[in-house]
Amino acid sequence: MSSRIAVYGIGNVLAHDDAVGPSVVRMLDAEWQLPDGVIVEDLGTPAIELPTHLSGLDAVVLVDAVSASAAPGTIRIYGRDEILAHSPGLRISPHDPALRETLLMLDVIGEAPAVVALVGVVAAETEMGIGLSQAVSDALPHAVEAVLGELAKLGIDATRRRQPLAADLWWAA
Amino acid sequence: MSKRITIDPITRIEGHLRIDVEVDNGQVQKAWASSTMWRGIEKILLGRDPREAWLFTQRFCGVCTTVHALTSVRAVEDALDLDIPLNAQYIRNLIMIAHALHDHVVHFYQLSALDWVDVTQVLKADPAKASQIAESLTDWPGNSTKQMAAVKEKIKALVESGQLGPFAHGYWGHPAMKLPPEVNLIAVSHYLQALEYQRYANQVVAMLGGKTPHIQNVAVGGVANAINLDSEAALNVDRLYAMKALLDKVIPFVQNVYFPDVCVVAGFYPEWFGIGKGVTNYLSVPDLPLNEKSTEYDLPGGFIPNGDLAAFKPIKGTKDPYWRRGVTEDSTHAYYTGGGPLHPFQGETNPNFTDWKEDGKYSWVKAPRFEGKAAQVGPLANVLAGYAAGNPLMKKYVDLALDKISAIAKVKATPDMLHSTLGRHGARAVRTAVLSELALKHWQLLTDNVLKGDTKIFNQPVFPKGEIEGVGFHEAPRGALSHWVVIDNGKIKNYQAVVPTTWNASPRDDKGVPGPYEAALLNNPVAQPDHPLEVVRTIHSFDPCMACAVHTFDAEGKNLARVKVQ
Repeated sequence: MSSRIAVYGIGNVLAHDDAVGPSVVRMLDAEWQLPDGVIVEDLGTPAIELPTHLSGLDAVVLVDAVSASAAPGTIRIYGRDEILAHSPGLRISPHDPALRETLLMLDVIGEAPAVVALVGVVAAETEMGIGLSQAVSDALPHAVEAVLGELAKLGIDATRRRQPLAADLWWAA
Repeated sequence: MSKRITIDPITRIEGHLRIDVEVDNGQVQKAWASSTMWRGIEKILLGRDPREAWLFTQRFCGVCTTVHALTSVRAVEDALDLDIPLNAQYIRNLIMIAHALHDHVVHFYQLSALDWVDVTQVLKADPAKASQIAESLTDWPGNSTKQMAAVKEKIKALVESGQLGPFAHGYWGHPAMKLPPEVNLIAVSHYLQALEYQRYANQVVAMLGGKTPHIQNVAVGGVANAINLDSEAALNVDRLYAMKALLDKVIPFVQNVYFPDVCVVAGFYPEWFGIGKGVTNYLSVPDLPLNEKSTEYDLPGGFIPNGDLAAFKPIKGTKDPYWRRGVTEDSTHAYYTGGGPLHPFQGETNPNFTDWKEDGKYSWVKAPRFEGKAAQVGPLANVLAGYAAGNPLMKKYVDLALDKISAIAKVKATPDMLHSTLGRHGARAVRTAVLSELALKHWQLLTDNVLKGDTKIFNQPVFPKGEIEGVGFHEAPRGALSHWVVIDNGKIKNYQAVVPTTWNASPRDDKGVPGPYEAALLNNPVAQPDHPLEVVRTIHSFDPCMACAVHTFDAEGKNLARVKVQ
């Protein structure tokens, strides 16, 4: 059986730059044709449903807004080890199974993806409201390229659609 | 000397719940619950097409996505007095049930069990004895000595690696942890199994909703699931039975694993039936409509004042004036302009941030009130309403839970003990067991109706000129959720979401009356101020979820939850 690979956009589309993950995967899907079986999905805010979506995959490429010491719009790519590098703090949040915790949980039952790449876009603004900041908006095509680069490392070739579809960014309309 | 403990944020992903407690002599004397993030979401909806509101509302929050989609379409349908075809009611009901089964199971195992279960104690457990205990309680096949030993080995390997993996951030060895090693092993074993079984419930939602976490199949007027027994692309007999196969996996897990586990854990912590009572006015709303007009429901809801079940007054539907006029929101201590109570149809959401002020404004959450009273919402409110209304399923599982707990704790457990931190966990397990039975009932209702030849799924909404208003409600996993919409010439003029966590995390109101979290924390023990496990237990028992997720991944490990002791 061929390997199971997914590209997921994560983020709240109603929180300005947090919409970058969903935007990038929808643009990717509109402009590029990926081999059958590669899942491309805007997961929005999966929180406690994240384990369901990651479990049993061989590889996953995630796109999300990140907070890092760099200018807004900067793209940083993190591997599994970097994501797991920071141990979670004292458990006071009941809704903690975010990416790091989800990977650790799935590891215990042997269902975590072997390859994880997080294409992070440094956010400028994540208050409630619709619309990306200029810096993050300008970074969108580069983020799409970065995702394609991660897919290429996995041996996945994307072909540009002859007639690109319009990316369905319904919330921004 | 009293100490002030601030826990900020207590829910990281879904928003920013901050808890401040003043501790003296090892007990909480005063408590404040506040949200540190503005929910300006309602403003995003102004001027939009009411038929599209649900797409936006289900992006409000990082956990309760589905529930906001369903409640939104119900609000608009209420404004239009639109009937909903039976198929659409049953499909929505099945989505709600499957969503709740998923949510409640995950809440117990992945989100709160580790408040009570000490993973590191598993190393001291005897797998054979653990298996024997577990098998004496139920006939679940996943409790063999071999399986328990395998889990123990897994945990041992984690501990020996020096990395506790997902368990790295627990309160291990805390003096408030009291389960015997074997019970810890059983719980951890089921924690791992829950990761598998919760997925099946999630798959039922995805099957009907098109995808999760943001479903795509609802519409104002019904659902978009085409029904055609002769089409592979539509809802047909094969799909109905595929769904049933998933339910047939989830239901035994709920009844034979989750439900007894909660009873066992509760049985070892009987003192927690005396802690965390708080506000005993309980509000829930009826749900799982059984007819097109949504006047009959499978689950009762209503209001119980002062914990007095005899004084229970049912809410009959969204048109019931007792409900419709009963809800207000107060901004005296919330970061909004205005102060005293406003009805949601007149609700305002104009920010007025002042910084955290103990006697002034201190939260982004408004203070919702029912008939002017603070009210607790959630599975406990729902179960007590069902119990008071004489609902046979609620009664069956409440009595069963009390019997099991009595047997383990060796004290007589009574319904009065449910007004507590552990009572909220117990009630959630009861509700899940009830819903697990109703899952099959609603699956059968849908299947029978479809086989009868009814394929109707949608009634076209028509918006009149002028102003109309509507309210939709849903008894969501975290409690009574309502959306209130005012529509003017087919466009949204006002939109207010009164969410479960707003009821429970409510700040004080104009009369200084605290909300359910604040009241429930009073007199909580706190053994170690820098490890306030007991405070966390009580807050987690409500299953908090501050609406409006910001999902920024923090690449440098900053901004994690903090505990500050002053």
